[in-house]
Amino acid sequence: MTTKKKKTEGEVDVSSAFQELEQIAAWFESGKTDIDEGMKKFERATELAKSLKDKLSEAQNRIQEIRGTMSDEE
Amino acid sequence: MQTFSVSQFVSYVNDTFKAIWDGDAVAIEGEVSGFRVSQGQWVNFDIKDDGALISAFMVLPKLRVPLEDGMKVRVYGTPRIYPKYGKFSFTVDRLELVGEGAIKKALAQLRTRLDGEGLFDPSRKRSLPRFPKRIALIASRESAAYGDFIRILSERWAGLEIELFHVIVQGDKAPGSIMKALKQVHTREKEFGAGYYDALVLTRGGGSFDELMAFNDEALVRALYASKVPTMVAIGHERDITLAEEVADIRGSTPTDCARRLVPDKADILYELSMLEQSVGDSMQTIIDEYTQAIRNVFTDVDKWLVSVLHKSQELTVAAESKANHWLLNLMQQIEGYERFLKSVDPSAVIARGYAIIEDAKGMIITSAQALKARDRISLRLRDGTVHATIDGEQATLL
Repeated sequence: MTTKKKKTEGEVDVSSAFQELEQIAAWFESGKTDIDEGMKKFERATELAKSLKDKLSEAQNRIQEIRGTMSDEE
Repeated sequence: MQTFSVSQFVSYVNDTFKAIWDGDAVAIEGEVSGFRVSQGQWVNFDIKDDGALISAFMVLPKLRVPLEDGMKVRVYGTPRIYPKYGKFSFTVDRLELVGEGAIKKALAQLRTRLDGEGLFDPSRKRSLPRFPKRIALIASRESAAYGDFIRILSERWAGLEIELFHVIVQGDKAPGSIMKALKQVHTREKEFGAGYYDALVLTRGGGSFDELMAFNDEALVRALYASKVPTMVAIGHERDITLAEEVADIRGSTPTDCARRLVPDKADILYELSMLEQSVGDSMQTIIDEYTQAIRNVFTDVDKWLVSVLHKSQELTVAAESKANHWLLNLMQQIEGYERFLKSVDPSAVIARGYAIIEDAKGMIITSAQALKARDRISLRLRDGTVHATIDGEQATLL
């Protein structure tokens, strides 16, 4: 019986974080000049970049062997 | 002496064959002739060499390679007499093609057939996410390919969850083992929800043509084709292209290439991150600079406006004063004109010059001789007073 995988609290989803960061950069590149919105997005971008760097710097790949494929052969 | 019934004899012979014949260890090699498939499920053919021939029988699902007359084959199974007709035949449990030529020919036929069915259609190839989170890895944990794959993944990326399904990657048991793993992958995908795996990777290292043949197994190729999880397959070296690789969504030329194509390089992503950060920072600075300049411009504009208003006010004052002066002058001149006029028509001025104003008794001014007759009383108003007189002559006389 396998246990359902649960996402760790606060775990960074690299794909969505990177995508959000790219969207923020695109927002700035589109020439928007709303300073309030810009500050919010700038702060969010800084936060995302930091969490992504931390994630990539610290995390290791995890390997788990799923048993059962060799039961007939072994 | 022992006497058998026919049935007993056939059973005895078949039991004896079964006891002495090791179906896994002993095989018969020969050339196929009279190959035919009946009712879509029974396969019959003869195996022969220069000196002998035996009939062979097998069920269609066990036939994993395209077969035709003239091919050299190796068959594993059991010899037996078919009781009903007393016919001796070899019941084939497993069939292998013998000779690289025959195998390659069969493989080419299979490739053509599967291609015709659209199994290798490029338009159905799926792409993988840029940052996979979890993959199913089907490989032999003892293989160099597995080691290379994991090493490259570790060098390039972090945070990837790898679920390893250890399988046999060589020999006739390999396709079954791999298909079992595929089934297990899909069971877990179903259990944990669609998208649980970002990719299914099947890999093994280099080997001889025969060693890699498991990855040309039709049933395995079809199972990969049916995979709900996007597939990435890398078998052997660059030059080896198996059908499993052809049916995969993405083919890696080697296990290490497969790892490189599966995940991005961490260093590249960190660089890209710093570029994005810099771009966002620069843009934010530009916005701040623009706002600062805009605020400065507002103050400058207000200042300019105030100065212009002041100037205008001064100009208006000067203009108003000028207009007022002009008006006063005109007025004075008009008054003076009126004065002159009044003076010119003042009767006292005329009287002063020696003229008199004549009025009748009623005080009416007489301007015509016709208005007077003899004995009319008149008054003569002179510069310094009025005198009264009486007309004593007629009009004609007066003139």
